[in-house]
Amino acid sequence: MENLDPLAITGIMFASMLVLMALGAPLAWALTICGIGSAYAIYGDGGLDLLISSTFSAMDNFLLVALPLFIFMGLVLQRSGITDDLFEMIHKLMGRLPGGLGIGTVVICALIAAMAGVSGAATVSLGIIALPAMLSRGYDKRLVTGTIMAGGALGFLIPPSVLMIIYAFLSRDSVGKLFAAGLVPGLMLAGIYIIYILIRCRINPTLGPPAEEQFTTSEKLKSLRFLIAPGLLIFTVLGCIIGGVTSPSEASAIGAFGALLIAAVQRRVSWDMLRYVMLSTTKLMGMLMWITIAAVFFSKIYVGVGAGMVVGELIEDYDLSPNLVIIAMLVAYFILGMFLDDFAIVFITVPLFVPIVKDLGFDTTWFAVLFILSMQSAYLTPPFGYNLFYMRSVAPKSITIVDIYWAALPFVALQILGLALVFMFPQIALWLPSLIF
Amino acid sequence: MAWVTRYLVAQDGLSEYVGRAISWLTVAMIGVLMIEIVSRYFLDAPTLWAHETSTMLYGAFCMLAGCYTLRHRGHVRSEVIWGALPERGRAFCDVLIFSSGAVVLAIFLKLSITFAAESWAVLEYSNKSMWQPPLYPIKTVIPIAVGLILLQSLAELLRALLTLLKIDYDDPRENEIESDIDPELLPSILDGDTAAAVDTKR
Amino acid sequence: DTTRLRFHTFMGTEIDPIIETFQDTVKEKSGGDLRVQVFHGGELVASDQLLEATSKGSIDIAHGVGSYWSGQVDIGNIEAGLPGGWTSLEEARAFFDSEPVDTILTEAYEEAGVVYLGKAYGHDYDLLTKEPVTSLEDLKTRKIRATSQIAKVLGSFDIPTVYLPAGELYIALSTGVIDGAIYGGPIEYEQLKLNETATHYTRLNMLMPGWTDTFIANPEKWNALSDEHKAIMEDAIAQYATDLNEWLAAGNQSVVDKGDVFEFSVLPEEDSKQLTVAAQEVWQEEADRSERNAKLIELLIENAKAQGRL
Ligand code: NA
Ligand code: NA
Repeated sequence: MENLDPLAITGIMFASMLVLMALGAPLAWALTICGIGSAYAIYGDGGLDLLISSTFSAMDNFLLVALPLFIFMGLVLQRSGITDDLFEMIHKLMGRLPGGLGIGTVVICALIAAMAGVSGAATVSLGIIALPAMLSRGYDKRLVTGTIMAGGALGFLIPPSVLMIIYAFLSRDSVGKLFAAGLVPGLMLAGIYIIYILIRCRINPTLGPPAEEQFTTSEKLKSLRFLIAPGLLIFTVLGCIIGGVTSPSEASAIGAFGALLIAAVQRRVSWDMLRYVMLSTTKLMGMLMWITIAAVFFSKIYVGVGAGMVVGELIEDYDLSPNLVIIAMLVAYFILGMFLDDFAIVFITVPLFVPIVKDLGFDTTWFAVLFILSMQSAYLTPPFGYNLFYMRSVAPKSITIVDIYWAALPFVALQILGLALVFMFPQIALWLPSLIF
Repeated sequence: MAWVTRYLVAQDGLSEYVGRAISWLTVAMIGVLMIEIVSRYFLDAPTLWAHETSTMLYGAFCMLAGCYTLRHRGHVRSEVIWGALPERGRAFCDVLIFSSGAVVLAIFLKLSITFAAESWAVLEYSNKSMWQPPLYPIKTVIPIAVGLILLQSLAELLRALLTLLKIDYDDPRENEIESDIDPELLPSILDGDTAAAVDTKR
Repeated sequence: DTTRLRFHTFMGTEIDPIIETFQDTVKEKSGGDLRVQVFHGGELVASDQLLEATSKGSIDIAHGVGSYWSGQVDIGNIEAGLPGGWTSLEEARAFFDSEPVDTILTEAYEEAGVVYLGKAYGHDYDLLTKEPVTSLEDLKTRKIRATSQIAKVLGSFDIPTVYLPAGELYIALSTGVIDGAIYGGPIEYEQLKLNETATHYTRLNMLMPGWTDTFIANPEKWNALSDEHKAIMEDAIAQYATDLNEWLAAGNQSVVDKGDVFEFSVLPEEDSKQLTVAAQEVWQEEADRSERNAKLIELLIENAKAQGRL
């Protein structure tokens, strides 16, 4: 068995994993079952011990301590009333502008993204708070649901980002550098959404009619106070990481602690809330950890077989253009994103793709941003897209699933536009990290 | 089939208890790191132990969380095909998955017991920093966590098997709704109509 | 019929030219019957799992450092290099080649379930700081990154130490989380681009070579090799070790020759001596861990006395 073609072995491994996944096996199970089978077939007993060393290395990593704490932080913020306050603020500031609430929603999404490590937090809370408010003011339902879903997906691109931490763990990049690289593309994408909303509402003002309520200047200025708490939190956490004051893990503790403080000031901390946050974090981390173990183990096996080298040689032999290889990978990400969970995709593909990206001479930080941009689309593409599910569960009955799919479509196109821009102009992603590091 | 129900209540209860107990480790991680930050920046006296302690808390927390996640059906799976199958079709897949999974977990358990035992045998310590803490406690967490997840997956296997064989039983978990969405933010989730639409994956 | 050996080093792709020579030599001398597949640091197992993985057979041969597994093998820290242990390559080599030391290492690794194959020698291992250092006194107000044995010695001078993985050194230095680090020599510091934030390189004259590597093999796999193949492997590993040391030496020299990368200075002789004396406490602590450690430390002391350092 040892002399079997590495590519054939890898092919069998992946095929059997996909079959198991299609049968509905939890990802961690699919990976471990195929991994154990292949490890034994290829290496004998010694191969099985790779499972233990993978387990211990996944447990013994200071970098990953940031994962549960950023998740914790996001969950606390969801309950802290920040979203309500921010929406009240944009309502006062921008309500009179055609499409103003839509634009404001994007701004809030970007702010929440800068505080939460996972996507989804913004979609759920804005779906509950902003969606009914905008619908009652006559906003177009497809435009607003699309805005909330796309804005919510910014959570992984604008730091902090749990997905980037996992990517960095697998590719051995610096978390701080990845965070810095995601910031500008994230703001750019938010800008693209805003411009899109402005243009649509300029052409057809009925899509986002201006609000009738008038507010005095002093009321408007006063509403800006709602920016203080989130502003401080964002400044501290991102400043600590991107400025390198503390390690990302320490910054995540500051963030979680700060979020608790904000919630306490708002008198929103309760035993119930704390228990909900702690248990949700536990449930999510149980999933992430067991996938991490399984995926690290699985990837060690195909790395051990030499699959990466063979794929690299193949690319060399066929003399493929490096850009074409990257585009092929991005297309693969787009297709995988329609059917798979983003964590599944990162664990399965990064150990396979990143060495090739390195061999081709590309910057892995840049590739990380392209990857995260693709994962944003994965949140919006049917049939499997988290933000579609979230929206469906929080939206009023007047919004059908067909509306939600149609609402997502133009924003997926905008995301692809953003992806193309970063692909053509890597400096969008690499400028900030090159400035700092 | 009252014994089945009693068994499932006990097994789900065990995983629930473990999950609730270890969920406090999140607060412990925040505390340890805050102590480090305060002593480094404000007292100019970095601790020796905070990094490794928080890492060990992390490792133990996440490993042990596995059974709680499984008990709450929180391990992400692709439902594109599986979800479209009829109930017994899904049960058939689950029997396949959780029975082969049990074999794999049993192997994992055996390996991890050896791994921990070897660490105990030499009273292994970590050599990363001057602190040099013992490593056998954290290594012992692995077999415990694997054992717990194995137990819970046997309960999942039994559920699937009974469904497949059309044997009627009372599932204590039947009326639970697993959702990612904060119930506080979404009271309507409690009415069945919306609940059906909620994705149950994480 | 071909035998394939999985060889795992703790080092990264920077030593690929040496690895390629190693692989080619083995293949050529064995007429293609013996092949080596090489994995870099962390590729298959984390560096601190190398011993375990070798004894279990996940990998066949490991190139690691004793301090990675000193939690499992009592002599690990001593053979990796204690402050004040040796001061030149020749001295270190003579020490490890001596019959009693070789016996102790062979026996310790046999107990840990692996075959001891031999040593490679590191190179410079000194202090890099943001501000110039003229004496140990200067360090008392600065935070230095150091691993456990060195940290203990610095600790006895009230110098605060921090442990950080190598990957975090750059950010930690550039932002002032630490003021300096003891991690390697000029070439390692330059590769980590630390010269962009810290340029003062102070030779401590505490330990040279600053670390030693160890080669270990899985007993089953090793004993299954023919005597001819064993000899080929032993020769090739010895050559690999020599190449590695020469590569480090040349690399360090090239950084010195560039002239503008670091400002080099030397810790006053008196201070270096103090470090060696303070290190005795660490030696004693290691000696107390086991009878075997006590024996090895005794040999180390004998050697230091013979060299006139103690
Ligand atoms: Na974020
Ligand atoms: Na999708």
